[in-house]
Amino acid sequence: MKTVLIADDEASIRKLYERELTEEGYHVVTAATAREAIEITRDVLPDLVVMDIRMPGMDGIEAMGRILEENNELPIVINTAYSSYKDSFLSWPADAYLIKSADLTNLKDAVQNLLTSPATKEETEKTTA
Amino acid sequence: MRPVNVLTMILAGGIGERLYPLTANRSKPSVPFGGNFRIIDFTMMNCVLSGLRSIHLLTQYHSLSLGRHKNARWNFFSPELGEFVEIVPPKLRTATGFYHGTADAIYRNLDLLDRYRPDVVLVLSGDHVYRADYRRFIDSHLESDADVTVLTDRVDEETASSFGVLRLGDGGTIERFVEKPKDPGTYAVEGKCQINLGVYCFQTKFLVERLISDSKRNTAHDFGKNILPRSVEEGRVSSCPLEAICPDPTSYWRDVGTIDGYFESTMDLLRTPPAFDLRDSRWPPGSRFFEWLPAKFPGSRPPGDPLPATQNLISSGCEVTPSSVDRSVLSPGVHIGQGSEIEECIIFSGVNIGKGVKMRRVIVDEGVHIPDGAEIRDGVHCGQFTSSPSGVVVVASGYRFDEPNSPKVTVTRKAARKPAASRKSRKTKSRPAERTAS
Repeated sequence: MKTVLIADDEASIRKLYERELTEEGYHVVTAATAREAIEITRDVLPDLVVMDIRMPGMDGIEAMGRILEENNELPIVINTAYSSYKDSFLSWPADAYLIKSADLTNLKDAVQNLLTSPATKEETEKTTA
Repeated sequence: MRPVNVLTMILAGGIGERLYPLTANRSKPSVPFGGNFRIIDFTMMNCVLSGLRSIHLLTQYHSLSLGRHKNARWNFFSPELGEFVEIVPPKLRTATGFYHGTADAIYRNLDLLDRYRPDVVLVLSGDHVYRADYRRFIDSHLESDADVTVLTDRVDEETASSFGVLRLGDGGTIERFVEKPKDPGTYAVEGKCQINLGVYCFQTKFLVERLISDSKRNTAHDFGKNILPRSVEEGRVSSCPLEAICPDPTSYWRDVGTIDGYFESTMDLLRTPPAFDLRDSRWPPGSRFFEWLPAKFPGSRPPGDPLPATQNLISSGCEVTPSSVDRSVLSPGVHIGQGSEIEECIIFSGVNIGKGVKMRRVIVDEGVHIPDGAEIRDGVHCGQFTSSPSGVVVVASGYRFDEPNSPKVTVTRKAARKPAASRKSRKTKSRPAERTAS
């Protein structure tokens, strides 16, 4: 089972995403701050991170940089209420940039696509062969 | 140059290990060159004389001397006009430790590219000696409609294996890029290889995408090894020959990466005519650049002497008492004692050379005091001097001759490269009357 880390300072968002992604068959862990997200990526080794940008203290862009410094192959989905960061070069290392919505279809699609990328598929095929 | 927004990023963090001990306490771009210059000055002059005034100097190892030099010499930029030259050490915001490669140095400063949003990014190396008009380089880039343009030169295939070697297609497009190939002859045309000179003009978006893509791979994060070979596969890469943008009649480019390379490049300044003239034809009359120029003293030649005339470069504040100084470069504030014989030497600032000192092919770093009667030349290693493969001896900064355990001062030379008579004939004797006049 793939593990997804949700990093968002809003408890209601964390709860909603956890429930929805769990129903999709993922193991979900959550972090309320960017620093907590960095710690969890070290301890839990998730397969993908869904990262909010604006959080108290360290923001999600900085956290993404630190996470990628330690694991440059970890897929990261930026999931924010703001579209203004999309043009920033600093957000471009993310594998997907999503605007928060009540409809989680895009988020679920992005997570699924990234977790079944060619490299991941190849790995899965090798494991099942 | 077309109206285009350019951001210049100079890679100035090179550790310069092969130049040790000249880089023991300074970065490679900070190493003095030509008496009163530092290696970085040539890239900086190329920028300023090309009208580029938005410059970031990316530093890391021993950046203090580079910072001091930048503050003292390159302090005439006008913030009111949007001009700047900024020292940028590694930010530890999103990554820790030193830059992992030249590409990583730019990647970890994506915020600067984001802030200035240039049309093109000029990526330069701060440790090359050459003269180029970057306006013409950028024009070449824009005319070719390339994603990245690389400054190139042609060298003999025998020497090409220490460079990035290119294979060109139609219209100057680069079709293949191989870093330091073992078999450069494969890429040679009429015995010459096209090589990468480490000067790049990138479309900003293309550069950012390549840097991010490379950051997610376990590579050396190096422009020559990783970014350019991949750019050739994924984009349009053009070449621009150095001779097309060189303001001099004859182009010159050196990566002074080793003691021997540094020594030979310095000797190039002393030829008649010099292979590389420190005086830049682009300097505006009356500009401060002339103040940096060391005085050139031609050697006196006996009538009919077949050897070429010799030169010395003497910087401000030097005091040369009656002695012989030949084919040497003196940085500011050097004192040479009476009766000394200095031949093919590079003497850094503040060095005090005593009376009756004999030195040949020696580099003396800042502030060293050479005691009376010392003889230093290649041939016998005395333990604490560095000697290059070709026999250039380096006396490191901070070396003290008077300590109890210091090695023998006199180092004999077992095999001089030229007959003693020839060496003697090339010396320029300074006379008391000339000294008084100066």
